[in-house]
Amino acid sequence: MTLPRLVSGLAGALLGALLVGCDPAAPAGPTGAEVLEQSLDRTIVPDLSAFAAAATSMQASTASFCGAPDSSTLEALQESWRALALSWNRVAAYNIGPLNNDLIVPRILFVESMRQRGTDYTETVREELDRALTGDHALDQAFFDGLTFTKVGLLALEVLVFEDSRDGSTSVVDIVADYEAAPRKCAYLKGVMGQLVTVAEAVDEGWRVDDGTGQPFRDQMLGAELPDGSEPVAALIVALFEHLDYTKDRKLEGILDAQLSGKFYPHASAMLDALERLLDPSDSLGFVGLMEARGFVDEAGEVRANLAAAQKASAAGARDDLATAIGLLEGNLKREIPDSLGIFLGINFSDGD
Amino acid sequence: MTDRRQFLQGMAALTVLPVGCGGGAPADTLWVSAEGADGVFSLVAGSAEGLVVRVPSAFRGHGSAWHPAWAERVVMFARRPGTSAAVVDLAEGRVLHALDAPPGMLVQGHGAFSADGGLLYVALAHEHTAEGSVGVWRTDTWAQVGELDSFGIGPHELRLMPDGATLVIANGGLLTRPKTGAQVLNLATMDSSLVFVEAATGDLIEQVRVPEPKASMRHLAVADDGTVVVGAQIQREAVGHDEVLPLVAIHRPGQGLEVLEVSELVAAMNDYVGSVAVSSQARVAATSSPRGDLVLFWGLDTGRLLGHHALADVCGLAVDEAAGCFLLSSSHGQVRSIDALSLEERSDARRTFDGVRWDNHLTTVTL
Repeated sequence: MTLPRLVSGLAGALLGALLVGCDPAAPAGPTGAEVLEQSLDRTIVPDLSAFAAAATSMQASTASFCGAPDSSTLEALQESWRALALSWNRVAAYNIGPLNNDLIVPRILFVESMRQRGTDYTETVREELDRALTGDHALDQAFFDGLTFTKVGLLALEVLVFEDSRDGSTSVVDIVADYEAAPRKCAYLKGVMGQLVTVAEAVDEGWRVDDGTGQPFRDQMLGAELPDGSEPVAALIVALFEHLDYTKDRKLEGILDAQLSGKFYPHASAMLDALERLLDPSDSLGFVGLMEARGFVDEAGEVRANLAAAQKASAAGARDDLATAIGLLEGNLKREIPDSLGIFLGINFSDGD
Repeated sequence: MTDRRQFLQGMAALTVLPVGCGGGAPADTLWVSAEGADGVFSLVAGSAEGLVVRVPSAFRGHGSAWHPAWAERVVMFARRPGTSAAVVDLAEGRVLHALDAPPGMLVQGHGAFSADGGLLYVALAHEHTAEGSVGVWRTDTWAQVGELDSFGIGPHELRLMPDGATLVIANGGLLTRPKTGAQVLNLATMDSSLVFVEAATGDLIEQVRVPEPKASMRHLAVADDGTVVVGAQIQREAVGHDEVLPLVAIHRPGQGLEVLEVSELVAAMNDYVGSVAVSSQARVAATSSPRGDLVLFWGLDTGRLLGHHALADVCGLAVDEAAGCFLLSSSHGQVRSIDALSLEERSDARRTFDGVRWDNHLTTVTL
């Protein structure tokens, strides 16, 4: 073959070097590959396992409550939901691999239905619950397997444990009385709970054991290319900024979720804290530290400042300020972070015509 | 730089290699695209054997057109707000001519040759008003010899119809200006249309619109029988709701514009079609969405959704009819071949071009 192969390959070589840890331009210290592996093993995978554990824990609380419904067991159940929702918000940004396992109805929708297009399905949940409570159809596994994503997940569980289905009261006494008056409600709660446990365990297992391809998604992330052709770090960064975009556009500039439990801002703080642990862990070098080590000190400082501003706004419940700070963080993930790390995110999706 | 002898020897050698969707089709097809980033741009041509030639260009290209009578020549058109097009000889690996838009006009990223290759039609828009036109250049002297009305704002892709006498033009309807980049300045009044124009006279033959006024029809492909498939981009901020809107429509000769079904797969395209290709043999159209990392396939005759293929940052689409496949390219350097009949990927034909960022559009060139 006499054809010349004209390969400039500069970006590809940089990225490849970043991932295999032999970038000649990089200073001494952890490589991009090491930072990625550390991020997976110290943040992403453990947090996903914690989410699955929180789901199992709430399932146990559900059994306790349904076995002896009273104010005490209900409050314990509500606390389990809060813990589950917090753990979810620490991992909801990882919408790749096992969470995003289907083009049309990926698992993430079965946890957070609003994620599809920002639609609040609270009324849909209430209507389905009403049909279940007033009907006489079997509330068996087949019934719950047939429920669409709009009727299950964290929202459905929030409706089930934080309000009286008769009149919407949020009084613990009223909610307990509601369960005592409607025996099918506990069967419904158990069924919806079981669906979420199944999803959470499948996601956890997909990252750690096998996502259906024969290997853990964690291991695939450490390879050169994911099944959809994307580069792993780029896929992670895109997932992060898409989640921030969703949080800003659909929630902060749209409809705040978790209103029955009153936990929107704690959830946002949990998300931001997890993002900080991923990007800039206090006890090791993360992606932001790597930026700094590569000489992008100002850019790294900007990411840290925007993270701090977002955390402060969330703690204060300052909706507009939080939207602004999250927008800036989203911009960091689109520009400063990949540019500093030599990661190519793709051009067509953001720069078409 | 490749010289002509090397290039032709190389292509002759390639013809004996089995490649493509059919498995036994000759590998004499090049995949041509604009390419580059960070101010360094080029036209690239690759094949199943790898990168064949990279020709530096002074601008970021968008679409390209293959000369129907001079197999080694293509024209690459600048994307907005460029003012140029480059006539490239793939064998010589260089730009032969640079075409400049008339003063005050911008090249819109696409163009097409006349059937005999004697004329080149280029989509143009006024730099301030975005009023559209089609510039006409002779290809022997590369002198501009005319300008036709596009009958709309912001024309984007245009093609020659199979009759060789009609141009079909997608007027995106969007007013943008160089100083404000991609920001759309006329969301309230935007008017997108698909227009059929007599190439010789510039007379308007037909002008059709989709029902959704905020759908900007920008890309299209034409089948051998004159069926036109058009892809839209929804200006969601002006729509006022979140419901999924159609992104693909088909115009059949003698009939109106049929808007194709909406589904969750269409929703997954995220309001954006970046490229369209048609296989006349298989009677299948492909539409890509880099915002959804997804290509959808549609039946030309039924208008029904037939299948899909997921690929990160996919946009470029082309058809290799000899091999019986669609070719998909991504900015991550990948080219995938999808059998036009089964719509299954030929995984053995999967290629990755290290360091190549395939831009929005892909053109097949058969030598």
